[in-house]
Amino acid sequence: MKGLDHIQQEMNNAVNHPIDRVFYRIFVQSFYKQHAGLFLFLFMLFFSSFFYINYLGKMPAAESFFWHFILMITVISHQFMVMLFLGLAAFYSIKSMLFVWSVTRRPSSAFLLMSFAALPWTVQWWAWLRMQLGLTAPLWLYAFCCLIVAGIYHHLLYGFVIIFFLLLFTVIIACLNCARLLKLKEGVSGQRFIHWRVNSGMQIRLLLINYLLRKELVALVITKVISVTLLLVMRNWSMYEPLTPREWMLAILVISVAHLLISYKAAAFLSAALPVPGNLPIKKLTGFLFPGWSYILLLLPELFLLLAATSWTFSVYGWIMTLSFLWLFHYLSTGSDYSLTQLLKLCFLLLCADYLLTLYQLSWVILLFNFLVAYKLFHDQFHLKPQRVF
Amino acid sequence: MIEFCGYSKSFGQEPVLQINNFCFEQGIYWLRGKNGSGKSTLLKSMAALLSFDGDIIIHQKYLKKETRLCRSWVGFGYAEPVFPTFLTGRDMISFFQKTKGVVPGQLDMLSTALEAGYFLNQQIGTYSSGMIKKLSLILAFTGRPKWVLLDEPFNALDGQAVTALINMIQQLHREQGVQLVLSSHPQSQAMLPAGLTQLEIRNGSLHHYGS
Repeated sequence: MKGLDHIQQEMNNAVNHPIDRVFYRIFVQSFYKQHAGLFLFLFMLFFSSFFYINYLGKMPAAESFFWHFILMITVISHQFMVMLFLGLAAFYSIKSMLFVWSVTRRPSSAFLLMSFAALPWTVQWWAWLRMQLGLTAPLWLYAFCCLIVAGIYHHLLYGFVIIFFLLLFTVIIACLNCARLLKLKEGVSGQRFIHWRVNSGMQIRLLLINYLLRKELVALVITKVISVTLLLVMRNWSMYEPLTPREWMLAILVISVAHLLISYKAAAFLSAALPVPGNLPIKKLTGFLFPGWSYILLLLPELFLLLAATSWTFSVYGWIMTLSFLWLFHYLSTGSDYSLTQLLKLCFLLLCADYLLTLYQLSWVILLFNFLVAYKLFHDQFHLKPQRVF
Repeated sequence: MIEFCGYSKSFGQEPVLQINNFCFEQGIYWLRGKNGSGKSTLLKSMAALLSFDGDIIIHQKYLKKETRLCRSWVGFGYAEPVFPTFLTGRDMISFFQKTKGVVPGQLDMLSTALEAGYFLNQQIGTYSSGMIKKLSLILAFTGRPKWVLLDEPFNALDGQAVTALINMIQQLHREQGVQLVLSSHPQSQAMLPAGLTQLEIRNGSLHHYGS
């Protein structure tokens, strides 16, 4: 333990600049302490379990070192792997940014507004950049190793792509951190995310997307990374050989399933925000379509990617299919009284049936079924039980 | 000089303060008011720590437009200061000196006046509430602030420290031209020196006391 303390002291002394020293202690050290379990898990999963137990366990110790290079070569040898790494890097960067924001919201960080926020913008930005480099140090270490291996194996382009995007993420997050601290605090929580140039009627329609962007950003980003990566891979495959509609429909099923948790969270939030929509002065159909505004916005990236990869008729059809799933998941969540276990069981059964129907090219049945069941659930939940006590 | 132009502050739908026109000239001000009257809110707004409607002009600069500059002119002491417990007082002071500027001899003067020198190298987690308050007062005066706003400055301080603080406030105002606004309950009157300009927050508005 004495050795560890000594290393800790050495690291603290290494950061001599007063601003960097305070930032390092407040943000970087706390981040690594708080996420040590996650890093250990990832290390065990990717390096120890995957490679040592399954492969390296059978190999002489002297040769095991090269398996790390093989992992890096895999990362830089295919565009999908590069995208996967960048997706993970984006997720990690967002996670680190949300951590920084949560720390700056604490009363113990209020002194930053009185002191650090008075510095010129550029000085602040550089301090945030240095801090963000510290937070993303493991990614940078890995990216530089990839660059070296890429140089040796003549895949330099992918190595540079990784470095470029990592730098881009770091710079963007430094800017966001800087802008956030410069802004005057509201003093009350629950501000809207989308608030500029949108009238109050549209604000209400975009209630769900506001909630997801503000409170469920990590879940949203994970969902989008999965969904967009899958579509990009599908598009890449279709460039070599046209994919069949069945293959596309299976991909759409996977994309829809990826949005299950988002729909569940949105439904639970809406139930708390607008407990009895049946009592609101709106038409029944308007009430049913209410979540749609946000879901349409949420699925726009998928629409554009589908349009880029297939015919526009199929793209729109596939997109409406995904939308129908979101609607179904939303009202299934309501119908299952927001019990996630019950919802997962229900969805598993439904998706097994949908999978079979897709194989027999009966996707239109799924589309119709989704909307009808969603409407029935909405009708039962909010209009046949007006006396329900929330 | 600090001027208020159509200033108002609400929390949600609840209006707290409405000051259409008011001017803080040079001097030491005592801001009186009951609990929840909006003293802290007003001081935080002046220190550019809180958003509000309307605007505040500090030395001819609009606070909303020149937020960063206005923050550099104002020192602020919280009523109940909280700092990261794993940092030392010295870390905090170095940080403030780097961000707000170093004045030679200032730290010695402040720490001697408040008898804070002996604990600054310890971690803040080990401080008593009085020590934390003294640290926050040192930080509020660090650099070259034109205005220092102190919210409940005498909370948690013992009698000796209160006297030292009052002497220090008067000395800084006299010798360095620092303008001050102190907020406290009417019961604190006995602690305060004579000759302060007294203001009162009444019904969500700012008035000269007794007017």
